[in-house]
Amino acid sequence: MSIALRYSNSREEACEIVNDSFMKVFDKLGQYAEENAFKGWFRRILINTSIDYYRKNVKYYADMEIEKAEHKICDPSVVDELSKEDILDLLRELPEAMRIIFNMYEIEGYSHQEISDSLGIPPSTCRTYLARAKQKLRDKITALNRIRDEGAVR
Amino acid sequence: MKEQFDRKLVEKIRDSFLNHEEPFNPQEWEKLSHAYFHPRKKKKFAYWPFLISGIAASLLLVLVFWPIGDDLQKNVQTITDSISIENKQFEKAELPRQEESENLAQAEKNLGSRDANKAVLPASDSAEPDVVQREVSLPIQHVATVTDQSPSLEEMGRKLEQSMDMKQDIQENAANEKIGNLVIAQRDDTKTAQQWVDAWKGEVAGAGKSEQKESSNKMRLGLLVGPQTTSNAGEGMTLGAGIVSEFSFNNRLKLDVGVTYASHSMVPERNDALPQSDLMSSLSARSSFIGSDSELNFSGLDIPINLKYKVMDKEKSGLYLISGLSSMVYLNQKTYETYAMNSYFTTSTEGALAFRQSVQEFTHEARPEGGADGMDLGRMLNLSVGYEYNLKNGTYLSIEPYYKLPLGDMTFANQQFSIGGINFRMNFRLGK
Repeated sequence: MSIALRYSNSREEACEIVNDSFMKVFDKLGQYAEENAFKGWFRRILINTSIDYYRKNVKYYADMEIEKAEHKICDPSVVDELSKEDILDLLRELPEAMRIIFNMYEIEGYSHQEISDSLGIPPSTCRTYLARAKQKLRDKITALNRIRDEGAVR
Repeated sequence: MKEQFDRKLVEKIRDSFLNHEEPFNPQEWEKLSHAYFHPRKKKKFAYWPFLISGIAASLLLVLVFWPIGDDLQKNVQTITDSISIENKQFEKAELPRQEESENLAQAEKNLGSRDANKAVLPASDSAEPDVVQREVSLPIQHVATVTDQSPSLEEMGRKLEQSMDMKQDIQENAANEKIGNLVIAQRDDTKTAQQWVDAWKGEVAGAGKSEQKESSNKMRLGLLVGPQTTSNAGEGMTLGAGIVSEFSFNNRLKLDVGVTYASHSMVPERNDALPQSDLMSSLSARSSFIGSDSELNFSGLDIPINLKYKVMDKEKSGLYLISGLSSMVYLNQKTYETYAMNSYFTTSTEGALAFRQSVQEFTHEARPEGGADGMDLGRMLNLSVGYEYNLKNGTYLSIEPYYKLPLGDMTFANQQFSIGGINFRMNFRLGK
């Protein structure tokens, strides 16, 4: 469920992804090879289902505006103050493609080539989206931290 | 600094969700169980209407065309008769009796001095008004139609439906049983749960194999309709229709069986093979015999058993070569032979024999005796090329030009003819 939560826009969407993944598991259980870990196999199904969900919902492909890179350096210690809900909110505020690429590359450890094959985009686009996703997360965490600091001062 | 921040963020996300578990939600479980246990019913309803409507359409075609075929034949007969009786001086004529035959022979002797050619000239040359007489002899041989002996399409359809229902029920019961066992097995004991999962996995793997086996035996049911014609010069274009089913051996090779109905009317090309009565033989031996026309009518059920080989396989379309043998079941087959003869005398209303030159026509209708020759097994060689296009959800549309070559004598009149045409065919996939 945690994987689906990270990839989805909402908890309801995550539940649908989990349900669909279980359906796939039941249907394809005969294809599971015992020498591999069941958890890894199931994780892969969940990720693929999340990607399918993303593909299904993407009607139009459009280039996003290139934002100006901020050179402001963040303090890593603010990350420690993030809760699970904060992280989920931050991830869900990302555009879908960026969220998926960030999760796949940073959390699951897929290569850019594997991600580009899965999503049907060039590896260079994949790298660009990843950089933007990281930048957006940094900005949002900084903004969140600033709001909290202001609240604490008042 | 930026890299350090990102690394820390990733680690934080990983750690946060490593052992994350959401609370159990019964509504989501309901959704999942509903989606897993009930989808097959939807598929069942997806193809049943096609199957039922296909069988109904086939039966309708048979019911509509069968009686109309007889009516059409009667209408043609009536029109011929009405042309003959348009002459006001038409008189009913009886079959020449024995004494009349003797008189006729005597008259022929007396008229022997006349020009022989004049005797066979059309009646319009004569000074007397024309009299065209027509007489239809009773059928010489009567047969019970082959219809009673042929298998009923409705019965075949019902059997097919029953077998499909049984198959669906068995599959659903088996799936429900497996899942029911699993629900009971949900316990905290990890070892027991693992055993259940292993057992279930084995069963599902077995079921997967059997499903694969079933899917390899995919069957398709189709409806076809199309114009056709025979090589016989006397027949124009007719319409044929039927149902066919297709069984896949593998992706390229398929078995194609079915039944199609078509009605034919042709002029026999081999008159010596036609059945003749003694009366007709004696008539044709006379010097007053002018000539004869013959016609063969029959409705036929063509039962092809073909092999289809896919020579070109694309994502949405394919090209097939089709070859096999056709067996023919004949329904309501009969021949009409019409003889024309010169008549020099007629009986007036007072009963006196008067000289009057006219042409008499006798029609002889023959049917096979006792249902004999009602079927020819493997008597036609089928050659065809088919182009198939996948519409959606296992529905295929095909166009198949074909040619059927005769491998021997066919029908009770022992005729040989080839059949050519184009079939427009729609196939529906049965099963998953």
